[in-house]
Amino acid sequence: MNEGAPVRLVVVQPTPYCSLDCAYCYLPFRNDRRRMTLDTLDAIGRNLLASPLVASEIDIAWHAGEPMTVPPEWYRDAFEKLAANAPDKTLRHGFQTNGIHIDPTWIELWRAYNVRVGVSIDGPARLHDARRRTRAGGGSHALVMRGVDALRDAGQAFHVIAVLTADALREPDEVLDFFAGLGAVEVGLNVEEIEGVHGESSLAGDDIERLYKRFLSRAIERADPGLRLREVEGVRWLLSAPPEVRASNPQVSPLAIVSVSVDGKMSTYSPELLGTPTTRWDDFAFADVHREGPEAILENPVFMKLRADIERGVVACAQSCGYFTVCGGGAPANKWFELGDFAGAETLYCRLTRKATLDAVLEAWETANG
Amino acid sequence: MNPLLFALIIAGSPANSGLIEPSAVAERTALEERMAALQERGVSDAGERVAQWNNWYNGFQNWPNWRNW
Ligand code: SF4
Repeated sequence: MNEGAPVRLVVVQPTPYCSLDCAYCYLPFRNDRRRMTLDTLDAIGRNLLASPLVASEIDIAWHAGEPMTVPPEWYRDAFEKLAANAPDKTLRHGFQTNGIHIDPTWIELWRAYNVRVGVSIDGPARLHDARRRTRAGGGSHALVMRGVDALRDAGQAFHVIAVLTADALREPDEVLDFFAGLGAVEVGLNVEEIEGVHGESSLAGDDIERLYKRFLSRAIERADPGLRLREVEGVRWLLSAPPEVRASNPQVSPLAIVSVSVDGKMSTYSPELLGTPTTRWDDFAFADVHREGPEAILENPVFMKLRADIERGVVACAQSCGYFTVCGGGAPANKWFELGDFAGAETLYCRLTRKATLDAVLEAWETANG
Repeated sequence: MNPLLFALIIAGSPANSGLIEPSAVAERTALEERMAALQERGVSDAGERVAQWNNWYNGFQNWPNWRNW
């Protein structure tokens, strides 16, 4: 089993609060307006980033709440403090945002610190507004598009994450027309997941795998010059990756990903786990960054039990699944939220994002290449 | 997990293990063959993905980690 460390990705929750109220949101505390203190940031730099268990180049994803509900000045201080406390490390910051707060001040900040920006948009207004709603219950599409216009005007590169619901899968051309003209560097297609407090998915129906594959085939067939899909590029990458890289999976490797909550609790494996209320797993909080480094996670007895369960799940995948050599055992968060068991194997999530994706993309290329 | 067991599972060879369900072995073999055939026909990444997006897509942004946290 891959030991995981060094830590390559740190997911930091600047606030649990989100300014939208999306129908499929998995975050349990999105009304909580707390903001990470500078003390906690200081500790993240000193005890986590500077640790020898952390790689020399680290991605820091500001996420698990809407990062842009904390002001840009806060991030200036945060970026400087982290860099000062981990002087030997190269930090690469990334935001995944709902997009409704983007303005020139933010773009200036992102430019200054070379921040990677991802905006969440589900397609044209009809589809986006059905799920991505404001707290007053209205649609958010117009607000997001104002932000996208600001990005485009400033020449700021951005990628997009779109959550596909069953409605979107039924209208591939409507969705693809929209993204083909958007100007994003790449569009990632997430599926509506059963996760956290979102206990059901419009994708749980019988016909969904066929619709999902048809959606991807249609995208490949159209070959829009302005549209680069993460799913298609991911499979292209797989074709040339060496076998041991294909099967490596940081979501099942301890410490490869470390998540830090607003109050400095640390976790590992799938970032969605941290903060999920569960007495059995101590809310997946295994160490406190104010007092200790990432090695403390490995010594936590609850973590050790979790690790054993996750490894059993990887073995179950390895023994039963024809896609294991290109998946490496999936996403523990989805196993937990869907099956209630980390030791399980197949989920709706992996049937779509791994199996159906590979099937659809390979089939489309085989057809295109005779 | 026992690293040897893991290596056997990754290798996925039916001769090695007997640990893996035969249907999974057959599926893996078929998948590997299809991927190799496509690569032979020139469908490959050739580093383009990494180069184009400013190095942000390192291993952690590639399959199977497709959420872009
Ligand atoms: S595709 Fe699903 S069942 Fe197969 S290895 Fe991945 S998570 Fe496990």
